[in-house]
Amino acid sequence: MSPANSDRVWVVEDDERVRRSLTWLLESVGLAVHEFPGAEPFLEALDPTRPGCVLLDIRMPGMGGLELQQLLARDHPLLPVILITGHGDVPMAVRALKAGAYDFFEKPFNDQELLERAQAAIQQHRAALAEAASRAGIEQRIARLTPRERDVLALMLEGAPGKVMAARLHISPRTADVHRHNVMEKMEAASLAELIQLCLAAGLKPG
Amino acid sequence: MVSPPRHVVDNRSQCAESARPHLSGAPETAAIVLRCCRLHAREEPPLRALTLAIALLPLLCALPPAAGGPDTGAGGLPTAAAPTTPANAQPLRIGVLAWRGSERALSSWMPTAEHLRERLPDHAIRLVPLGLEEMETAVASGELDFLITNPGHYVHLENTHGVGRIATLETHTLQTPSQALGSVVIARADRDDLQALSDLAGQRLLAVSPEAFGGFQIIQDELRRVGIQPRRDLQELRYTGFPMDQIVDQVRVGAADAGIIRSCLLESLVAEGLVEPEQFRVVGERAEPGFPCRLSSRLYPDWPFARLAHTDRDLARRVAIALMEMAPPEDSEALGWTVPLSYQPVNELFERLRIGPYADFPENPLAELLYRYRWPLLAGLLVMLIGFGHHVRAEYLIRQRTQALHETMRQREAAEEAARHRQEELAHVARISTMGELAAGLAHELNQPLAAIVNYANGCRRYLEPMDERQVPQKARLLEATRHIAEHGGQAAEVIRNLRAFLRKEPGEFRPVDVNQIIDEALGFMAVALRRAQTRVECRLGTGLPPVRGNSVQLVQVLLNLLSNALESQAELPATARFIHLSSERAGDRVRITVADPGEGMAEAVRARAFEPFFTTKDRGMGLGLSLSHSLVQEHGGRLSLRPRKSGGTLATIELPLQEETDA
Repeated sequence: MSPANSDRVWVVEDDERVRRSLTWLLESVGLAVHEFPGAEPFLEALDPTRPGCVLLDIRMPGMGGLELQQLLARDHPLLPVILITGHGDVPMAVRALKAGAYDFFEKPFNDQELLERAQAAIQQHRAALAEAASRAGIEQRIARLTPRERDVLALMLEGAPGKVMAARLHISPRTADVHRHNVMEKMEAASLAELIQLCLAAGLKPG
Repeated sequence: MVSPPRHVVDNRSQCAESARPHLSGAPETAAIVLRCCRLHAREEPPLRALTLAIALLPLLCALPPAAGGPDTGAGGLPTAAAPTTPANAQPLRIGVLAWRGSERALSSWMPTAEHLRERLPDHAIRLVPLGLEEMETAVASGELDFLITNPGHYVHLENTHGVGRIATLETHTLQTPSQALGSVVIARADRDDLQALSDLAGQRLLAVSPEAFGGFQIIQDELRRVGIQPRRDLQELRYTGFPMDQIVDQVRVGAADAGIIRSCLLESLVAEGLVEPEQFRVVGERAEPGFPCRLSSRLYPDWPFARLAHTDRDLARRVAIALMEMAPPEDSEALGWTVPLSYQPVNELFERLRIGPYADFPENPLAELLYRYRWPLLAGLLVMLIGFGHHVRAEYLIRQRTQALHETMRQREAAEEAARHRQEELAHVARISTMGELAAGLAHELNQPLAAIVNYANGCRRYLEPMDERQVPQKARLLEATRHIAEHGGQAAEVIRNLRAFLRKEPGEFRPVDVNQIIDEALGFMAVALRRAQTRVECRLGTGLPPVRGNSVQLVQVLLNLLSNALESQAELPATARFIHLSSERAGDRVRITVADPGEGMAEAVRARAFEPFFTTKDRGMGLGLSLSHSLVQEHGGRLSLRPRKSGGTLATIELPLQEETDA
């Protein structure tokens, strides 16, 4: 429950009364809230790189909540969207959940649940962002490898010893050792185990 | 058939031999027979008869030259001239029916002949015994001046040869000469099975001849009355001819089952000692008061004395007077003559039997009439048949057309009923869905502020919680209040939720729906309003459109909303400019319906809120029409949109998903 300053809750709700009260409620637990009366201003202001979540009213003039949610799911799949529905919009909310929404709430809200889910969504977003970032870092490291070093990395992930590696690549064992060293260096891995973990995180499979 | 000889003394003396006429086939001896004084002299009849015979013997014996010789006086007819005829006397020939033979005929009528001789001394009275046919021949040839015969024969001759009765026989033993003559059917006494005349059916019956009155015709009439036609119903009908006595003989020996004889013959035979009364029974016996003999029939008038057509009137009058004056013997059983009676009963009998003068009459006058007029009748019948046929045909056609009319009316009623039902259904759905929309709108409108209230309350509580008592001395009470606010707000929202659930729009059953049919139906409902508004409708409907998945009632309702909006939006336009364009087409995996009008259109701000419940620009609208239409289309998984037309007015578009084939 210690929100970082960078955290944001994006509230998109056309009804000002509800919007303001939501903000009031969210701020009561220290969340930073950005509120918008419609989809368009929200999309203009959105910073998807900040950890956060979107509270979205389904019934809105212009671009409705569902439409916006689908748009977000397409463009910012990591950003969690919590839908807020009036009575009777439950089937819509179910459709939204199937389409990837994080959760939905009926007005009026059970504040406890809503706040917990909102914070959970923010945490998830933060983790996802971090993961994406780390994956992006590993990928950058992999990108720095030469083609020969990538071959060596692949064999290292298979657990092939230096001699086998040299034989497979038709190079001398000494040259192979140099490549191995360069790979470890470029991948910023202290050990083989760490290297394997990094590669797994990046989606590279051994073998 | 002769009535007078109730009792005749059968004097078969040898003298009679000489009087034998050369009548063809007549076996009897002609004889002068004395009249018996008493008819029913049961006591000692033989003695009396004998006495009389002896007394008359000389007289009888004197006759032969006149009676038995080859008499030429009557054209070869045998005659019996009365005695003591003057030489210059004119012959007066009286034909008598010889029903029991010539001999008895002559003897029977001798008293009358005697009397006439006395009263008409200038005439030679001759009795000529004749059979039925012989008498008719004699009458036809004018060989007779007078005749005495039975009533039936008389009526026949009256009709055929114009003979006329001048007197009727009168017997003093009878109450009236008009009830003097009948017939009796006899059978052997041992024939117990023959009781009524109807028992004669299937039996063998004897009669004298078809022309015999007492010997056949009277009984023929009686049989007819009990439903027996002799030729049809009898086993046999045999004619014996005269004399009638032979019928009695044949019945007695069993040559026939029954025989017809005239009344009183049986009694005469008994009196004559020729038969025993126990030997016979009478079939169909009936009683006539005052009639002395057994009977099977009704009674008819007694024998007539008749003149022929050519007989001199003066002579006839003299004879008639003489007959009337014939002194009735002191004996009450004697015969006399009285004024001629009517023979109408005989005529009626003949008419009934279609014999004698009525022989030519058709048995069934109606049948004869029908036959004679058969062609006109057939024509008439044909006309009637045609008329009847026409009537029947007309009836049939009327019935058929009435039925067809009924069927048409029934169909129309059914169609009207269906339309009414559909309208009711639509109205019901409209009411329900409007209520649902109302509730949804209301719920939304109330729910929003309630949500805000609850949020604020909860927010307050959360702000308060970390604070200590010094900062907020009433912290506990404020916390309690904020909790209550949130709680009550939640309860209010719950009430609305329940209300909303109660008035929830019926989801409706989704089926494959033909969009064009929906359009037709909606236009049908709007027809009157469209006519009244003088707005023409142009349709460009796609052909072969696949069905959409939907509820036809709800979709019709959506179209009705759009159509009535389109109609109202152009109320200010001149009639010539008013129109509604309707189209349907396929658009990918959807079917698109458009409703376009050239009306006032919608401002951008209005269009943005057009689907909000309770939002309206109309003076008297609830603001639910488009809102409801929108949510109905959304429930169909479709989309309703409003756009301005380039040339002014509004274009409403409905897009509906197709019925998936797997759903169908």
